[in-house]
Amino acid sequence: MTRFAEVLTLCGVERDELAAWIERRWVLPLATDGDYVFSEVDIARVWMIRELHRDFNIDEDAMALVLGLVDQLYAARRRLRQIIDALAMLPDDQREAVLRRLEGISGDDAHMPS
Amino acid sequence: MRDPYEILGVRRDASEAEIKKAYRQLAKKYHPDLNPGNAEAASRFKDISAAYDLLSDPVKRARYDRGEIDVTGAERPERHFYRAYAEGPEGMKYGAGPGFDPEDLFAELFGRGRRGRGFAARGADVSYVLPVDFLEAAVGAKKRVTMPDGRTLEITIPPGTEDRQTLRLKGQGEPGIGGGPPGDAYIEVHLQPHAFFTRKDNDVHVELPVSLAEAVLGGKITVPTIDGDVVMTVPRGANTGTVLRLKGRGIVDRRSGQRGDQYVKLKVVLPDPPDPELTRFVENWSGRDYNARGRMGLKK
Repeated sequence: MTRFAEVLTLCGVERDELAAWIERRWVLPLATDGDYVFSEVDIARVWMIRELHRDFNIDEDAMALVLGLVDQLYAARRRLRQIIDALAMLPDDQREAVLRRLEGISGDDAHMPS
Repeated sequence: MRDPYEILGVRRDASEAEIKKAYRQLAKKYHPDLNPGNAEAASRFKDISAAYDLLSDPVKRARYDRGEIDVTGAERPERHFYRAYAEGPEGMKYGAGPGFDPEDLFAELFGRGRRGRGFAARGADVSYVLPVDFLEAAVGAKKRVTMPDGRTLEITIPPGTEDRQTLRLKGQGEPGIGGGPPGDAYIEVHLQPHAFFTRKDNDVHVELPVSLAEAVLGGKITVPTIDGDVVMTVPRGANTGTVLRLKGRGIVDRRSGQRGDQYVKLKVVLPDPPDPELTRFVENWSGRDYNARGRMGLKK
C-alpha cells in the first residue's frame, strides 16, 4: 500500500504529472481520507506510463491511444488464459482434438502462448 | 536528499557541460573552506557534490533517470513490471476501456456452442488495499471510499478489525456479463499505527508518563482508552515499569464478542526543566545513595 507522496519519490514523477494521470483515469488508485492509495498494479502502471512518456516521447494524446491498446491486449490475454485453463481441465482426448483443430487452422501460429 | 537535478538547478535534459557549469558555480559559492562557520554551506556542499557525482557519471545518471537507483546511489527495491500484474486479478480494474468488448468474442464462442442459450457470466472480483487508523479498527468505523470507477462506497469497518484482514463487499466488483451477477470487491485492511496505543491480540497496551508525586504518593490519574478517557488509581509507591490493568477496556474479539483489557505501563517522568526545589531536596535526601542498578549486579 503506497500513498500519493510516496509514489512521487518511488517512481520519480512530478506531483502535477501524477495528478493529471489520475484525472485522466490512466491510473486508478483508491481515494480515501483526502489521499490516494496505490496498490502494486497501480505503481507498476505509473512506472510504465512514466517510461512511455519520458523514454519514448509519447505525448498526452498518443498516450491515451497507447494505453487503450495495452489494456485491450491484456484484457484479451486474460480471456485467452481463461480458455487455456478451461482446455487444460478437459479430458486428454478432447483436449487433443481441440489442439489438432487449432494446428489444422493456422499451423505454427496456433501454439499455446507460454 | 532532494532530487539531484533540483539541487544543481538544471533541467532533466541538461547536457554534461551544463551540469558541470552548474556544479562549479554552486561549489564555488558553498565550498565549506570559503564559508567557515557556516554549517548550512557545508551541508549544501555535501548535497551538491553528491548530486554532481551522480549526474556527471552517464551510467549512474541513466540508472537514476530510470529509477533503478535512488539519490544516494542505493539500489531501489526491485521493480515489478506492469505485465506481472496485468493478466492477473489485479489487472481487472484496467479493463479494456471503451470501444472494446472482449466479451463479444467470448459470447460468440458460447453462442456457437449452445445455440439459443446466450452467454452470461458473473463479473470479476476486484481487490483493493485500504489504510485504516488504529482507533477506527479498534472500535469500528464507517469509511467513505471513492472507487476508481467514480462510485463512492461506505465501507463498514467492524470493531476489532485486524491488520491485513480482508472485507468482502458483495456485488461491488466488476459488472456481470450478459445479465450475470456482478463480482465482489475484496478490501484488504492495512492498520495504521497509533501514536501511543499498541495492540496485542485483543489487549491494548499504552505507556503512560506519571509525575514523581503521582508515583510516590499514588493518586487518581486520567488514562486514555480506545473509547475515551477514564480515571485510574495509581497505587502508592508505583514505579517506572509498573503495569496496571483496566479490565474490559481492550478490543472486542470479532469471533467471541468478548472484550480484551488495557494494560497501562507507567513511566516516571521528572519535571522538565528541572525543579530547583526538588534538586535541593534530593541533595539533602538520606536515601540518595540507593543503587538503582543493584539488581543488574552492577556497582553504582
